[in-house]
Amino acid sequence: MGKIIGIDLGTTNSCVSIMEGNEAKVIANAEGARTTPSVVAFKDGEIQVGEVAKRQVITNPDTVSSIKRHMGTSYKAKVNKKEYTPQEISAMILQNLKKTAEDYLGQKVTEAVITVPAYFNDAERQATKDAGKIAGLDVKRIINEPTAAALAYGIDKTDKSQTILVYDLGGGTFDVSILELAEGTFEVISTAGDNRLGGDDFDQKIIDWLVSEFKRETSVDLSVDKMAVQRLKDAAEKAKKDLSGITSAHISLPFISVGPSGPVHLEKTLSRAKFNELTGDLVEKTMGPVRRALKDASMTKNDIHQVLLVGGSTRIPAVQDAIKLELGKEPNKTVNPDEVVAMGAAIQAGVLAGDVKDVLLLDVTPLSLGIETLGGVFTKLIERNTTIPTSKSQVFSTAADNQPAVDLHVLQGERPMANQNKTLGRFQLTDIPPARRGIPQIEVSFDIDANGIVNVKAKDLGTGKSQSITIQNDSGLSDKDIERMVKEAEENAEADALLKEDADVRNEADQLIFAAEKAMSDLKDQVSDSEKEDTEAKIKDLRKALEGTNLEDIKAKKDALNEVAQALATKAYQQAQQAQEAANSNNVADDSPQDDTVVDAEFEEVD
Amino acid sequence: MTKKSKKEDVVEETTQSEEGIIEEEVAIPKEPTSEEIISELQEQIRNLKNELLKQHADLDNTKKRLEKERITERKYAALDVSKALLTPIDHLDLALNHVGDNELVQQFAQGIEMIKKQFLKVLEEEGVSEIDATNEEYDPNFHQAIMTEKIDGIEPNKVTEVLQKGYLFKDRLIRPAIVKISE
Repeated sequence: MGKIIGIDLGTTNSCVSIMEGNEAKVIANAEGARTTPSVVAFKDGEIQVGEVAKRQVITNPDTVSSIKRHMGTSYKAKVNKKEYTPQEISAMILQNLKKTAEDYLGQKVTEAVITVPAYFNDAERQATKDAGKIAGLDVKRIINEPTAAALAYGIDKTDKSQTILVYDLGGGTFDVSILELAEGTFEVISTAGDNRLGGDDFDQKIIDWLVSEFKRETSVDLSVDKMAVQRLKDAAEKAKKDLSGITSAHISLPFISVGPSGPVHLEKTLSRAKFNELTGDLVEKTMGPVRRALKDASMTKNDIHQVLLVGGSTRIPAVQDAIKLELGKEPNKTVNPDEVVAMGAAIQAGVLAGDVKDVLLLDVTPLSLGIETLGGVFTKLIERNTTIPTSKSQVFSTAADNQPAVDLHVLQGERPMANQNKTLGRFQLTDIPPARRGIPQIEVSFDIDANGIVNVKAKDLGTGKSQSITIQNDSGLSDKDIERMVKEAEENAEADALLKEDADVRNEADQLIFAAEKAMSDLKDQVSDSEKEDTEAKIKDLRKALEGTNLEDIKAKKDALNEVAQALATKAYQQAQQAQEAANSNNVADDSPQDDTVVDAEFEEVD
Repeated sequence: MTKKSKKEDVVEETTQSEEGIIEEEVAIPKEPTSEEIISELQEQIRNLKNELLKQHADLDNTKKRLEKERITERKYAALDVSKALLTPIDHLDLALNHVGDNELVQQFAQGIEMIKKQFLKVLEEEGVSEIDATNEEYDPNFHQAIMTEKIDGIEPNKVTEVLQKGYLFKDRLIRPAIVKISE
């Protein structure tokens, strides 16, 4: 059985998406673009759709754009010496999208879910359905664009009833819809909009400003030079997009034209504040329909639970600010606004195909899991958002010579230090045979089953002895707790990094002292008295520094010790090499010097 | 933790006893025969097997698609950066078009022209190629016409002037040549 595709058949741009696993995926067309202009051109008997057609809008009279405005009417597009109904033109766009999906899937596509504006009447909906039929698509369902957006935002995944306002500012049209979600179904309460307002108007404002500024400065009128206008258009669009991320955009167009005294250059900085000033009237113009939709629904802003953003122009910060100011709510903008409607259509398609319902819902671990290691550091074994069931193991070692047991402190959370995270359980692995620190190999494995039950096992690879603990998935954390923990981790990232650095430096220092002492005892009388004194003094210094809280001091003392330790290590290495050579020549197997490649981290010392 | 697992046990026990009661109630009117139980279990196994196979197939297909996508993405990886570099190259072109008669300036321009060629060479090696447009038949796949003009002796639909060069990245269009065409 083939897949059902989801199609956002837009006025200016269209987009196609499919369900892949549990997620809606937007399919890029042959040119690598994720949306396709809803433009059809006839050239030498050939039908062209998308960018190539859009390129002909000015020069080819046989080009049709924005046909969606005529859906459901008796309008006929007179092109290619023929008359085409809006359904037929739309079918050509749908066919193109269908082919995009087929190329991606490698199989035929015969069924689709197509979105329409919430205000479309029966005739307009029927026409859309017919367009699908002409394109060879069995239209399984026509759904409202705001409903599709709500699906893509996952609004339906709650049993609460909710009222949602969808603010859709596309390339050339603006729609506001108020939806009510109750018991899993959406109802459109009211709609309003302006079908001649969109992102292109924002570009035009920048172009106008550039032209008038340039005229004022150089008295050259760029608006009469078509090539200059083309360059201004590209630069304006880029500046607009840049201003969504940064607060000022640089527009640089050298040799934009020729003035009376030679070539002239355009160089301007457009600040976000200036851009907001230029486009303020456009933003304000979108607030009228927002108020109207609320009024028609007999609601106030307090009745709205969520505001969803759709359409590329909702990336403009001033638009988001205006919505926040008007509705007193931070709008939800977590899904790509250009693709959200197509994604929602794909989700609906997935539900119809049974893909969504039947697919085993795989859970993820909401928070990272791990254990506490030397210095109170939280060592993660399983990262948050890992799909379960899953398992992972890592080899650790002891932190002290002849350490008889290790404490396993199992934790959950996102922060780097153990005490900042939530304890899930503790257990001990005992009877570790006496050995120097770093020698025993303790394998710690985490195993989470499909129900979220965590099994943690510690095994001494030397003796085979193991100990484990089982933790039910009911960790007593609500979604809210999880959200809070993740947020806390983000908020405290900087302070936490310092704490972690402190722990790391201390661990390194501790390790260095151990290594230096070991080298000295290994080398015994090969170490000169002065070397020995010097090293011992530096170890003492470092130990003293470790008792204090001055991290810089620890670092300095550590570096000092490191210097002398290096010399010792070189000596030890040479000696080991000589011993090895001697051993080899005698052809006697001997214990080669210990390397500690498996030691990833170390347990805290057991009291 | 031990407390919790105990609780779990209790819950399991109650469900079991509940099931037991239901079974007893239902059992009186009609007890399923062994054959019925077997066939029902077989049905369940069949369904589960199907589901498993479907999952495997889905995973397999997804893997293949991802692989295909990865290859495509790698193929066009340098497209974006190439595209971004074209604007300064356009501007070099424009600058070079404005060199006057001054010999010194012309010599200077020659040097700049050499630098521009070096730029283009690097891009060419990555897969960028310039679109031929001048005097070609107008092809909207590669050309964007922003002006038309009537010229005696030139048949319609020919590119008469390239206003901005167009480029391809391997087989994909980076941007069309912006042209003037004959009417």
